[in-house]
Amino acid sequence: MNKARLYLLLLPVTAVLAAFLAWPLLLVLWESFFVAGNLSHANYSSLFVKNLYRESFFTSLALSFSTAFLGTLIGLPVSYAIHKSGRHKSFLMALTSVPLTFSGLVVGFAFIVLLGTSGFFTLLLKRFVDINPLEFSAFLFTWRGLVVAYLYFLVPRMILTMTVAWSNADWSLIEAATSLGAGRGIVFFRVLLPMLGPAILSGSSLLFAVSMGAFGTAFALTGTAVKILPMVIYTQVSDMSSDIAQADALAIILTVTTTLVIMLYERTFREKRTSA
Amino acid sequence: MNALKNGVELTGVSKVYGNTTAVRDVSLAVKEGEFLSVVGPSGCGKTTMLRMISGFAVPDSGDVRIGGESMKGVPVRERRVGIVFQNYALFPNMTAYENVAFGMKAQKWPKTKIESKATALLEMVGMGDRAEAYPRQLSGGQQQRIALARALGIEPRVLLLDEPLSALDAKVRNTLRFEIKRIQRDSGITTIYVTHDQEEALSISDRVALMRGGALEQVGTPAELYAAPASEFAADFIGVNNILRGVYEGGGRFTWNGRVFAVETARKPGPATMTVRPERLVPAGLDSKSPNVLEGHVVGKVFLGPLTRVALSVEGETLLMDLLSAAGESLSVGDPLKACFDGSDGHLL
Repeated sequence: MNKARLYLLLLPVTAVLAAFLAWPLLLVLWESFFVAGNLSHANYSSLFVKNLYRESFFTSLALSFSTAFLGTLIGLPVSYAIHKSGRHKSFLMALTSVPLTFSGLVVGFAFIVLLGTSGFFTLLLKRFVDINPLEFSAFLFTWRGLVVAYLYFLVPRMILTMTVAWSNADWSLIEAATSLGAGRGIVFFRVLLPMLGPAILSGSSLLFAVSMGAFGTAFALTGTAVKILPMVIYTQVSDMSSDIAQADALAIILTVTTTLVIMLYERTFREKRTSA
Repeated sequence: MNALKNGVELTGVSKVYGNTTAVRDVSLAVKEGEFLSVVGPSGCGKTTMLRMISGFAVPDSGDVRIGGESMKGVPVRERRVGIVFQNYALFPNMTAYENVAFGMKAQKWPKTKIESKATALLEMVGMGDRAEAYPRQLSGGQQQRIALARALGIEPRVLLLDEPLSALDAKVRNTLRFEIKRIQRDSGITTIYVTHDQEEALSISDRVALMRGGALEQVGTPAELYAAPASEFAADFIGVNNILRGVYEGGGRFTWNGRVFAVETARKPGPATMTVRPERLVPAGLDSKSPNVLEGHVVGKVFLGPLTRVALSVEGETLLMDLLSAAGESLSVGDPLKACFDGSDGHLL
């Protein structure tokens, strides 16, 4: 097949991407530079001026880095266990995928039902230990609580990525290193990590990106109380005091930050590969 | 025990996985500096045996000794065994040099010693000019050379090779086979070489151990295994053989399908199997006085270069016979052919 034909086959998807991704993005970018009809960078500089925006930006980053880090930490051993689970593997994999099918809102409400002020576990715990349900569940409605809720649907993503990596792993490398006299530390840092590094990086960057943009769970749990970027954007669009251009600017910042972080991940990964 | 300073000794070693016995009561002594091949069909337990020597598998019973010292409870990394894997198993994130130096670094050798040793090893395997190359930039044969240098880097007491050539193409396989042999001879390292390729085993080993169903079938020099197989399985697995099932009548008389052959054997009379190699069958001339004549007709022939292998149908059974191609040329399918063999070439089991 020649190149021209190949491009012809790409036409439908290109058209869809242009109409529903590129064009809106350009529109958002364009609008974000206008304040009351005049060209301005105020929507962006407000990030440094207005506490709300700066705070939401950093809360989003903290939330996403935490979920990426913890999700990787939890997902790694679990995925290894699933990989080694033999005949139960396909069942465990299916079970792992279940949380991925829930909408974010459902996950949010599930956490309220389980850990909320009158949640199942909160009341159960209250029976045995003297706790104040209000204090106990207050945690859930902060950004740290969001980390816990996000992990619910992010850890499965990590597990799915890593299970593939484990089954593609070359175990004879570990054996070779061991036979050459390498201890556990050397095997882990010089052989296992370089081998799994790319998968770990792509998995955790996926977790980061998903939690940067996640909305439903946070909305169900905290409404607009916890200031994260998607929530602030939502407020700008929906509130009485709506400021579309400001929302546009924040959306651009969200997109650029996420893309930048993923690119950074990718670069470390690619450098590892070439130097590797 | 001193003769086994760096030898390997297995005594009554068994290994069971689930309800299959992978290795069954194997006893074997490999002398220091010896090159022993372990051959057998896939699933015969040869790799499991190797893994018990390296320490990746623990025997359920019996003992493995290296240099006279029991390996019970000795972890892999303290055994000082060099392993060469079928898939090379080079570290992809390290250069050829770094791969070779890996073991020495892990064992905390002084830097200058590592440098000179690694360089010398790369030189020895003919890869001195590719020290800075990464594994993915090297061919399979080159990678296996690096893997060999890496395994030798830790100055192992024993070198274990697990089908090291089976992923390579025929030409490379042949050169590398003799390279391995040369390096082994020069370094005088005790070597155990696992392969499913009997030809490979015969061509490079001091001794060959033939395995079947987890047990040792026969151990001997390549010539012994070839000339005097201990069983029908050995006769069939090592090289190409004609297997004739008949009865030994005693007094040097073996009958097969109503024919009587004169053979040399010390065995007792009874049902017996005689093996005779295809190259030991020769065309019987008109003046042939050999009592061992096989009369039949050609049912097929294969050109092998210097030799032509002829399939001869005798008494409804097909026998193989190797002729010099010059002699085999004129034969065609359907031709009658008389073959004979010397009584000393008929090996009775």
